[in-house]
Amino acid sequence: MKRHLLVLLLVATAACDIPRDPEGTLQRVAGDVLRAGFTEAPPWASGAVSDPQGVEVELVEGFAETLGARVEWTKAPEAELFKALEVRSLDIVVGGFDASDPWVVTAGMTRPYAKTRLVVGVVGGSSPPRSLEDWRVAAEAGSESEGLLREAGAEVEPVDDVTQARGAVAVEQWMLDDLELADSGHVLGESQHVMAVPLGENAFLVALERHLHERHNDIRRRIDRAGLT
Amino acid sequence: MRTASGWELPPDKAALMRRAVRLEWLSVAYLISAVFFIYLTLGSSQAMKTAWFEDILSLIPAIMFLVASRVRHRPPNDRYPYGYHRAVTVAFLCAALALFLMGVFLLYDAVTALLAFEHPTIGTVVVLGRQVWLGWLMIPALLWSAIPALILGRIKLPLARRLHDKVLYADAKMNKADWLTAGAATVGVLGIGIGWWWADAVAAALISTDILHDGFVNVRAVAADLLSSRPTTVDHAAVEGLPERIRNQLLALHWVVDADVRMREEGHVFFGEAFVLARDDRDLTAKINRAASDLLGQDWRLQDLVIMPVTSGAEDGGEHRHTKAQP
Repeated sequence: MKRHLLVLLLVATAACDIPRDPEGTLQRVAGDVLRAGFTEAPPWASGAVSDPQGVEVELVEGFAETLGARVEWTKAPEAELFKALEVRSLDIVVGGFDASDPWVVTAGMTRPYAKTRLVVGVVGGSSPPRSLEDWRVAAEAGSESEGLLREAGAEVEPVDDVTQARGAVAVEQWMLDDLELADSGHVLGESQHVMAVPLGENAFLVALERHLHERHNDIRRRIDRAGLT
Repeated sequence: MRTASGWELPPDKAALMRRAVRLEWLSVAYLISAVFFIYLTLGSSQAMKTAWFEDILSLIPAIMFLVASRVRHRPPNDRYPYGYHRAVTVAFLCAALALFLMGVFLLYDAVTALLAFEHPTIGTVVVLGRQVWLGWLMIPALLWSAIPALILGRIKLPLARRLHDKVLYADAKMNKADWLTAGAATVGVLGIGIGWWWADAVAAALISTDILHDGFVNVRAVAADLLSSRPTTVDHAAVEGLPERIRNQLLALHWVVDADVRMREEGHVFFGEAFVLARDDRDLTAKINRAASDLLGQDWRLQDLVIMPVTSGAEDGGEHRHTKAQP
């Protein structure tokens, strides 16, 4: 009986150790340095490389803290960051990426840790449009929302700053409260937010996903708060 | 036009056939569930993807068997004087080719992944509020795709032999071999778990080689059937003894000097011609008619036998000469 328990214990400890990293990222980072890259994408990551800000920046720093590591930030365009990630010069890359972004699918990625929606906001109290085709909607010039609105058949009014627009406007759902707008119920698009990691470093990935999962409610609050700044 | 006789199976075999049809329906339902569970846990494992494709492909013989079981017993008509027995062979050719090509594709996929040092990335999923490494969920999904298949294969194999059904036989063999696939994929997944990134691609390569092999063997077998090769046993391993038995029975008739028989398989059943050299022409038509009806009752698989009287000259130099040289 005692022997059986011992075997069971051994198997259980072995199982806890799985998955492992082929290149040992988690072990290397723990107690040392997490090499992180970001690209300008407010509210997720922005600012100078010496003092980065944003929801994802905070999440990465929080994750490093759980490993007793400090973060060494690199700021660069996506193309450079993902090349660096591929050759394992970086351990993690953030910048408001969606699970279907072409750069991200070439790397490893976390399970989506947050979902955001691009919606049409209307002034509170006004009746929301039943069909977008009958409405004139403001959208940031040259943005994805401008094109999505046009596809939906709306008349688009390109503006430089959506926060200054009047009437119906295409914005991220978490911005509605700050702009004192109501949700019209029209969803233009959805983003599944992920972070990019090196391919195959499964222990590192699992540790990161656990961290993101534990902070789930916190993340929601941070995203909503992001609109104020 | 004189057409082949209509029935396919004697009553006792028809009961076996109904049982086989029920088993294949069960197989289809089960395989769909296995495909579904593996899909849920697919992740980015190459081995899982390959095992998944194999499960999808193993649906084809079962579905084909069911489709063919509705077509092949149709009575012969003016347009199809030999009946529809070969419907199943045609379907089988398509399936075997699909199997073969899929094997090539998956092998290529696995080898390129290996050469490109692709590290499979497998994270966590949330199950009932707990985070679980997806690799742990792949293993039960693989077990579900292996163990029932093994049992189904074991039940179907003897049925295939008794029904002389080559599709059912191939299907049963594939089911039985499924545990190899699931085993290889499990090793691949555990390999990823302990940090051997290459284990996954190696497992995938092994599985795709198995698919390729299945495809190749089946294409070769079905091509032989379509070329009307001499009948073989259901596993294609041995020459079927029926033509030789029929020949011997003809030789045993007192009015027959010499005889030669050639036969081909039409799905389940055999069609053939016998060439006889008669001692004399007296009542020859009546003798041939009696012999034909006697011989047709010998074996349920012998569906149609044309007995052709020949002269000694034709017997020596006739086109069917080559059949005699075979064992």
